[in-house]
Amino acid sequence: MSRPGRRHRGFALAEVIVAGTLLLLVVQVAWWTTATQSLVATRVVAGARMLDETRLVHRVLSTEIRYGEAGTDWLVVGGDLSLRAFRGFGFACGTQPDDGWGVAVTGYRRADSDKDSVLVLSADGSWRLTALVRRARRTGLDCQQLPGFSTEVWRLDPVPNRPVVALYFEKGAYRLASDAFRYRRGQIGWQPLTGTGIAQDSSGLSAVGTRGVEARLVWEDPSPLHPSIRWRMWTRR
Amino acid sequence: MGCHLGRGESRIGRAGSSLVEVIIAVAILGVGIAGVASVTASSARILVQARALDETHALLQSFVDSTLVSAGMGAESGSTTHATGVLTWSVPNTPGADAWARFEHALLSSPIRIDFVVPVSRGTP
Repeated sequence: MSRPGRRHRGFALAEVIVAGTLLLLVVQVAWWTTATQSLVATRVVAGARMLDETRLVHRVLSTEIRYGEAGTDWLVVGGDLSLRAFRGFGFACGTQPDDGWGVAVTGYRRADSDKDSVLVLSADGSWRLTALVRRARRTGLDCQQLPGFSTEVWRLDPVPNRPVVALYFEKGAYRLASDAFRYRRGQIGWQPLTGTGIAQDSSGLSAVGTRGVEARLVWEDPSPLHPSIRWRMWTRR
Repeated sequence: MGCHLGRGESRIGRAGSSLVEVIIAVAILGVGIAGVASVTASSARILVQARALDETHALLQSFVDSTLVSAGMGAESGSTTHATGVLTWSVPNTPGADAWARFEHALLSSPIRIDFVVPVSRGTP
């Protein structure tokens, strides 16, 4: 009468052993898989960040170089790209006020008389450099009504002769060094535009001929997921 | 006796189902782990492809810009092998003519092609 009970206890012990072994195996596999997942996921996240920042570096440098004139607007010296960083432009208005030059303006940001200079194209086809002394919003001028443009009156020094178009810019410099992609406005310190992780020794900017720049961007701890890229950029002016 | 046998059968029944439950739990856990691994692997693969697309974009943009400053390949058509793939192009020397460039990246399933117009201000190669 007690056999069935004993048979059941023996069967349950075997089950415990099998279940325990299986659980141990599962826990081991799960642990190993989780650790591997964590490693791969970390690398994927880091790789995505680096890819995003590489894209930012490429975008910024390509745009700056493309719209500047080599030798005049930008120059590579000692691995630094010194340039006139154009931030916007303006078209002459049809009617002009007495106290300045009326322009329809648009750009990445508003012109700032504290840090911007203006490159003016005159009706005779010549470009002249002027200082932006003062700027103010103005209404009532006969200007091109374009989306994104605002009407302003600029006071320039020296006063340009029959200005047509103007580009405003700040003096700046870019470099791939000190662990990050950095920008320096004027003579103020280098500010990082990306996170750290750029290999200093093998990254940098160099001139290609007279109108191109080559960028070498190498990230520390390179792997198929951590991009290291080299590309060339050319001016269109 | 019938009562004992009944309890015994009932225990055996519970013990049997617990083993099945363990196996099912292991299977579910395995499927879950495989699913997470699959998602991570897909993320890594997509990241590698995104990088390949960025490289292709940078290379094609550089090529098109270089035609403006005559710093391109110097011939109307041709092909060069890069570390990451093969660049093929056809750029007539006539300003305003249709041109194209194509890059076959080793990590992309299909080539990326860009069509553009030869810049008017293009100089002599």
